[in-house]
Amino acid sequence: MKGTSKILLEAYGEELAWHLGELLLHLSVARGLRLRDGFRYSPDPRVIPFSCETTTGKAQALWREARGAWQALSADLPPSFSDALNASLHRPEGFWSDPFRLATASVLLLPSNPLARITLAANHLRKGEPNPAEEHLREALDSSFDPRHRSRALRNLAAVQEMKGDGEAAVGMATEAFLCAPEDPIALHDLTSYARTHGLSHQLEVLPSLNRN
Amino acid sequence: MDWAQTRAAFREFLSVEPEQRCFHLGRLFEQLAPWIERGVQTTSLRHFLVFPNETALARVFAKVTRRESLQRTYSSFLAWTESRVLRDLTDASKPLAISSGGSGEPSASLRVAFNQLPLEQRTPLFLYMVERFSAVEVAQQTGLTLAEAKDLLLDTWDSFETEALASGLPEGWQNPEELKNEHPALHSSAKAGVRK
Repeated sequence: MKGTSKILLEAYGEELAWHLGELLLHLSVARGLRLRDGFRYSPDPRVIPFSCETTTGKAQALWREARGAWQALSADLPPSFSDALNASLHRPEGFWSDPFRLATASVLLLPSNPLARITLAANHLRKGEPNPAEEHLREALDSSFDPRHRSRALRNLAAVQEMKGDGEAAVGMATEAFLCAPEDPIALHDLTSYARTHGLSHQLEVLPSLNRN
Repeated sequence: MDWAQTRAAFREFLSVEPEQRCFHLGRLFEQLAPWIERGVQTTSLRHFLVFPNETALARVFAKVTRRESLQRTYSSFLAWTESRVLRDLTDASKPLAISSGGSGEPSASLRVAFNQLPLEQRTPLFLYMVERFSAVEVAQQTGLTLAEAKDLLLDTWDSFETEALASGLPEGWQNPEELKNEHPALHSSAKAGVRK
């Protein structure tokens, strides 16, 4: 755009994408929490919004801003961002209340955010699709050294293995998740739950941090 | 323009229909740029850090456009700007940490090497190289004697010289090599281990 430097437009575009991606992630989590389908879902508290309605309003305004920016600035924006924004702006019907579509758009805008990947993976699991879920969880593991993120990704990988029918691998993943974050009560709960379900409780005896408790 | 007027301009920007906001970026930037530049400059001087100023300005401005309101006072805005710049500077995934910067600005590798120097070494080097203080002024500012200041500058430069010269000194930076020409004997004696 005339009078505005390329470096400024790039920065604006990236912040816009990041902000929109974050809001879509929060909204996806909130919409997922509202579903009553028997699926165990305990998202990271940092991505649970206070108000679903307020977040929807903000995300819709931001989506309009992003659409305006993309239409006016697409030639000046970095191609990777431009492609992601363009793809995320194709808003199908029911988009704002569909956690799966919201999470998909969020990953397009925040490809290296582990929580966005894990949220999309959880949505795939909910739909009974372990293979795409596993891909996103592996990406999440590759993109974060934070033990909380790693533990969460590994817990979801345990669910993937269980869905594929491999109980032993599920217990293995849940054990890794627990060892990443032994202070996390959900990691402990999942581990004991998988171990009991698959008759492998004896494997827990070798975990020193578990026996200390 | 005072800070209250800038805040009013920001409110006006937010009142524009979201689809039209990108067309008002240039006008908002004109209003905010002097304040942000001052914040970026203050951050650099306060911590003796070097970074690509144009990138820092653009990044902070882009973050401002995502805010729901501007801080009530400029000093609060200054503190916020400082925190944003420092956070991005230490995040290896952010452009401020890794971008090459504009022409004449320090390269990414030079910035990393410079910013990783310990504060007690970085401070005199920053004053001499970036702010173009004389060795006498560096001594006055740091409380060292002139001989100590020169020794510190030359010793720090020795550890930093290879990286600095490999990527080329940015425009306007003063090269500490000139100190060796002023007092070659002083530095050679230091190298020989005479100085403690």
